[in-house]
Amino acid sequence: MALVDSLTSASFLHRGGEASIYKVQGESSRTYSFKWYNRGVSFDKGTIGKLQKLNLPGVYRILESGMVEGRSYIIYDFVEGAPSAELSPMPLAFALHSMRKVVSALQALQRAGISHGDINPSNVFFDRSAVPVLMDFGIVGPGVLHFSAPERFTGTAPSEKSDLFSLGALLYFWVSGETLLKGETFEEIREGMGKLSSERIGLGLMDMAEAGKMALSPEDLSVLDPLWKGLLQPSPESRVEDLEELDELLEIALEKLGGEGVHLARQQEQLCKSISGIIEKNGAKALENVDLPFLKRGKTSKTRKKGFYLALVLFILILVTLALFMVFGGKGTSVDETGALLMQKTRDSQLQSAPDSVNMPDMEGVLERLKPEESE
Amino acid sequence: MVGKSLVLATLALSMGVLCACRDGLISRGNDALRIGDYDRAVKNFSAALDDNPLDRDARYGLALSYYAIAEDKEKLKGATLPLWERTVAEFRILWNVDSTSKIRAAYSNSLFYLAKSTLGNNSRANVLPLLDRSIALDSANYFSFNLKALIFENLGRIDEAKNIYVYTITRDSSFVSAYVNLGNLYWREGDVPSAWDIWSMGLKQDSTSRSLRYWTAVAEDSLKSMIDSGKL
Repeated sequence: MALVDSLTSASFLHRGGEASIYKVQGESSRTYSFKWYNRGVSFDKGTIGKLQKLNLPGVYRILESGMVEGRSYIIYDFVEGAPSAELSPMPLAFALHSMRKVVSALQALQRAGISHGDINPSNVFFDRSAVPVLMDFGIVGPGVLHFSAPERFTGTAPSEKSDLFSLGALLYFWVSGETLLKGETFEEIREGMGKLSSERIGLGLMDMAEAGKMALSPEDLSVLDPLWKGLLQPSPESRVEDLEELDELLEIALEKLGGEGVHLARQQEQLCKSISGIIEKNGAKALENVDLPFLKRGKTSKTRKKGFYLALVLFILILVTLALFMVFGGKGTSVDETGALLMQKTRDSQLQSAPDSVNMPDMEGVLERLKPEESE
Repeated sequence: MVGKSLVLATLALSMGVLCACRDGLISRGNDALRIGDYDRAVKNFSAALDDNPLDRDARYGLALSYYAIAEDKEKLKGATLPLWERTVAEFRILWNVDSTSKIRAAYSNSLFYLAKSTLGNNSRANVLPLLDRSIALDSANYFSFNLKALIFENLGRIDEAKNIYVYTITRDSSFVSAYVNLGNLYWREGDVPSAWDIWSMGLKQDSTSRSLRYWTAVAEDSLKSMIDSGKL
């Protein structure tokens, strides 16, 4: 039985441009996320199909995808946590450490031939242990404007290089709590993209630190420069070679900050508290229970199947009865066969009596009277 | 889904019952026809046609029943014209629902008998259209060819009559009537050798034919006397 048929209840979580997300319960009270795409919108079936076969650390686990009520859906394990969008800005060392985990997950996905295509703060969740989990793969369009690589707007498919740009923009958001590219329209974003340079980015962050928006020293911020230079380049060729190279840059930056020591453990602990707070806050909100049209599908499907098989058995019984009737109780021979027999009998009888009945003497007698009037 | 399946099943059941009833009538009619219970056959086939006038089997069964009744009467030398008219009328209706080769022989024979019966009732009746239709339906109905040739012969269209007889003998060398009639035609023309040739050819095909034996013997005697008298 399909997982979607076993769902029993749903609570509304979030509505986006392409889909709505529900927290749903299946058998044994297991909780899942149900992403139900808007009518006419779907996901990249190739990517989702590959993901369904994988269970990688740091990547959400897709359990099922398909169509219900004429709309595409994906069911995945419900991740209890908070989106990174709600946790930014976050401590620099923790941001770099988490980014390494994200990069590690993306490397494993790359080996399976999968690129994300829509890396942004809402698509990286942090679970209760403050471990990042990548979500929302299989986007068909270019992704969120502020985080997408420029080549994605020309219709290019997601790639390792495009994901690298998005990771740079994500890191910037994690560190600063603001988007790198300002503006709301495509034109504004494109204009900002044209002015991008690692120097500008560094200076911008320093300005923010000076303004008290971030608790970072210029020295701390300087460790990030190689990352901006290697990631936030409009041209894919100017970016770092691959995710492995990015991981090396992240490792170097972390080491400059003092390594993954006690400092980081404290930051992680703080994040965990923040995440718990967000979870509690969300839990305190009465989640809106919704009655999805297919929720009782499981039960009705069973009934329908039972009814269908019953009707099928009945139909077969009727057919068998009719067949038996035709074989044993029906007509023995057809009217055509009787007609053929009758005609054979007629012909035999005609041939035997022909000289007497058709020709002579009868017909001759008839024809004696048949002579034309004018000859009479 | 369940509702639809059940409706389908009920529909199939109803159709099955209807078919079974209809098949029951036709089956009973057919059995009656085969054992010579023609009145009962007519009754059953008629009842099936009351249910569905387009039923081909029922219509064919009814036409065959009328045919059998008329042919029975034919053997008894009774008045058959209304019976053949009724039979042909039924075949005409049948033709509207089935014009396949299966019914052609019976329809063609009915027309032959109707033509013959019409002539028996009125020797001046024009039955050639009936015979032409009969031949068109079954080009192997040499009884219709034979009767048409006899009519031509009596209308003085001798060559056309001869052509038909020759055509018939060529197509079916076992059709004795054509030998008899062609020989007769030559005999009437005074062509005794040709008459003898044809009759003796026929006799080779069917040595049991009383007519051919008789006429061949008559022709032989005639030829002998012609030789004896020096006419040949």
